[in-house]
Amino acid sequence: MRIVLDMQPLQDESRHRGIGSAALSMAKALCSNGKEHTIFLALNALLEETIGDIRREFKDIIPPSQICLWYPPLVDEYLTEDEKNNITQAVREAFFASLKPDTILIFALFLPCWNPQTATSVKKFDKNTPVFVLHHDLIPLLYPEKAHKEGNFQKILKDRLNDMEPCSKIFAVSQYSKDELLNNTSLDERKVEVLHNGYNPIFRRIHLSSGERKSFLAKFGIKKDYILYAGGEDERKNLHRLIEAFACLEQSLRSHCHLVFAGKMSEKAVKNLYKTAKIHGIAGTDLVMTGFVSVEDLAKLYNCCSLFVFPSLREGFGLPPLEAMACGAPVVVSNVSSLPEIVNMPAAFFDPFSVSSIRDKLAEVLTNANLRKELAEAGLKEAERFSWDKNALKFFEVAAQVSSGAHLPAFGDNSEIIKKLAEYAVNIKQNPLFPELTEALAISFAQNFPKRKQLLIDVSELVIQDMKGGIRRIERNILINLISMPNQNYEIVPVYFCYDAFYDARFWIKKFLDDTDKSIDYPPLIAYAGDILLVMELFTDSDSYISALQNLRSKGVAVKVIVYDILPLQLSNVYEDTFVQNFERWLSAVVGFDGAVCISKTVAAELADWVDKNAPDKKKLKIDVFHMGSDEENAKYSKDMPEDAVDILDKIAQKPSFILVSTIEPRKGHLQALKAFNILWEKGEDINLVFVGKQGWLADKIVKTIKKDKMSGERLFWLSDPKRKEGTSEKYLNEAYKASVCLIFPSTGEGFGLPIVEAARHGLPLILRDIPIFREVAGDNAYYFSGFEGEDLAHAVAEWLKLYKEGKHPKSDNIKRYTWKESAEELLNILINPK
Amino acid sequence: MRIALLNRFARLILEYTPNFRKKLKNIKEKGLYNERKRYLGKLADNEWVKEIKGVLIKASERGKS
Repeated sequence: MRIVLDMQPLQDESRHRGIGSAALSMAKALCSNGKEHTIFLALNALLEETIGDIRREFKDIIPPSQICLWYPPLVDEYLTEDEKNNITQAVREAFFASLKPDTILIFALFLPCWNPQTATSVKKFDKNTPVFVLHHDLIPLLYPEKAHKEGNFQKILKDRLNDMEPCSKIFAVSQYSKDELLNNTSLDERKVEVLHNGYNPIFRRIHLSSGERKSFLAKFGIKKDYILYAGGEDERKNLHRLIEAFACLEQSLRSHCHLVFAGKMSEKAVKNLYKTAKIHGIAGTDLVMTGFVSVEDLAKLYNCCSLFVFPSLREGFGLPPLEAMACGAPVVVSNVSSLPEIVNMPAAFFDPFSVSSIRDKLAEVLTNANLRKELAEAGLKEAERFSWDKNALKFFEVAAQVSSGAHLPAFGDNSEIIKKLAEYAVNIKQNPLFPELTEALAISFAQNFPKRKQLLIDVSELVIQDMKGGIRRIERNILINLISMPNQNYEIVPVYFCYDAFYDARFWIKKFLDDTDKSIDYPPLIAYAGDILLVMELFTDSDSYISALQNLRSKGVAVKVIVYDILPLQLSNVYEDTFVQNFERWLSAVVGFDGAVCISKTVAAELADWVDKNAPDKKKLKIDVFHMGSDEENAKYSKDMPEDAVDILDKIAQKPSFILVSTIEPRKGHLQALKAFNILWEKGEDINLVFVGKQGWLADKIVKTIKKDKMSGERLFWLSDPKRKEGTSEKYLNEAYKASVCLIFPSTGEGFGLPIVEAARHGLPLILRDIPIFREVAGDNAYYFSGFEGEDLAHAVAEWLKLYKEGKHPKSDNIKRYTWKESAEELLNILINPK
Repeated sequence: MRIALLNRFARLILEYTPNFRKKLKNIKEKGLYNERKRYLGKLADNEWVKEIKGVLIKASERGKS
């Protein structure tokens, strides 16, 4: 079955209360017990501060792409409140329908209705999909407190009550709640079934040593035995009467214990409760208000109390007494509403309307150790009746029965949903539709209903700098090939990061391909759960970029990153310190993303090793490998050459030339090569050394040495167009390869070594440093050398020349080469069809 | 100095005004709403938004006839 859970009760203030906690537990139980089902958590995107927490709660039990956001339309200024509610409800139902569910579960029909950013409805727009509701109680309707009477709250509640009728099944949390519902509606009894709440397994007997107990309680200011209440502050919770009853206990009994209220309460309520305590002669320190406590602390509070009391006048269920029973606390409760049914221990009941009845029960239990023991043991046994896992299985059973009927999919594809919504909107707002309203609705519809899934390609650096060296070459080739690949399931969308968010860069692609210089404002990106973002950047030092990636992940977008190498961490001595720190920070962020795609097996193994050592607590990062292309690029901008290029290429071609293609950086081995060739030149070898590549970081000294070399311009050539800060064009590079006889690559570390496959494409033999990555790429098809001195390399080149003259040098013809198209295909497959 | 004191005094009065917090919350929420609107307004150039706008206009015209 495909099941959509409406998570709104977990997104407003209710999440701190019993109903929120019940919704969370039920949702988790459904996800954990429903592995054979596809469960979607539907979150209201406007309640954004809760989205991260919910994702964290569910991160190990449901795929991120199944946590989806729906966007209510922002139409406050164009519609009346009723009209706005109608269209928001329709958008919500349409969004749920777009997930093609067999069934929808609403955790609480009444709950988020006082929040204007939320909406709930049943079968207003989607008439087909069966809807189930967990029903808690009718307290806000039947016994409204002051807050329940404000605005049109009562009207909304009544509308919600009418929504019960079209539900396929209503699960009441207690027999009491079921009876209350049936007595106040004309619902068919068969439609309502009792499904008791369960409790979080964290609530169990915990052994604390006396020292642990003392230090734990000290943080709340608890120094004596205590009577515990946990829950909210509403009038119906009857806390003022409880304080009065506590005050009426005999002095000898009262002086030995605190009265502790655990739970989030408003400042006003806390003030009033202290006031009542003062009136009844209770010292400020005897009444303890803990404020919000975590579930872990609450479990300890239950475990350490002498007695748990719950004097509520009205409950639909009463979760705190159940939690206290599960922790082995002696529990006493009101003898009204659902509480006798849940607690089921007559010795624990008192009349909540009578101060003396409450007082007598407190005194009886506090003075009778046997009774306390009996209540605690009976409570533990009673608690066994309740389980979220059992509830989840029951739900699946009932939902399967209902959904196996003649339920038809509500709509076809998203285009059909949009058409129906458009018709619905027209009916709501009689013609003419305001242009602004049309735009606001169109934006909301576009946010909710993707045209297709999207594979987002981050091209920020290409957009900003369009640099034409190294990694940009890879980005450019991958991008050009990806966008030209028709894919039925995914639309390839280039995106661009600016300031604090991603923007749609499809306009830029047009500019990129046809080179027209139009200045365009890119619209913000609309991303959807299930989209994939490919980050092709080497790394970033921008916190806002990482936050924007996290933000996309919070929408259900999977972020996957190409990892070229982890050299800054392996060879930190040849990088600037800040670069190394920023790189490490970036890699730590990548570990938390959804996958890394490495450009070689060597890098993949190194990355896996780094993750194991540095982020063992993180979920294992999915690491894949794809192969780089090496075919010639056709883009026209990459064809320009400097004026003196022909002369230089001519000089290179006149003698056996060894080409070293790489950005000039300390690890690349330019100085070793230069020393080696000076040795060879002094020995009379008539050969050239050709460097191709722009100046990189920490390279001033190297560049100075190259420029000052006596053979510079004669036997030593550096192909770098001074007019182009980006380095040499693709065409110039290819011509240089053609004019050379051998690629020499003395680099001490690479992620792949793109020049190896490029040189192989030109049929050039290879002299490579003997490192694992070069062995992976070139295998036995290269001549390898070791050592870091000029003599080491000079000796290797001399030996190679002997072999070369005899035609016995290793040939590069058999190196496996990929085209950029094959490379992009492989990458695409890894991204959209993960194994 | 005098102005700073006056401002502080005015703020104290405001904070003790009933519903001040609620008003502040409304202002904050309104600000957030406007910010969202501004951001989303830029989406009008999105091709998919333009396409959907066309569907809405068509539906509206059908409604008129």
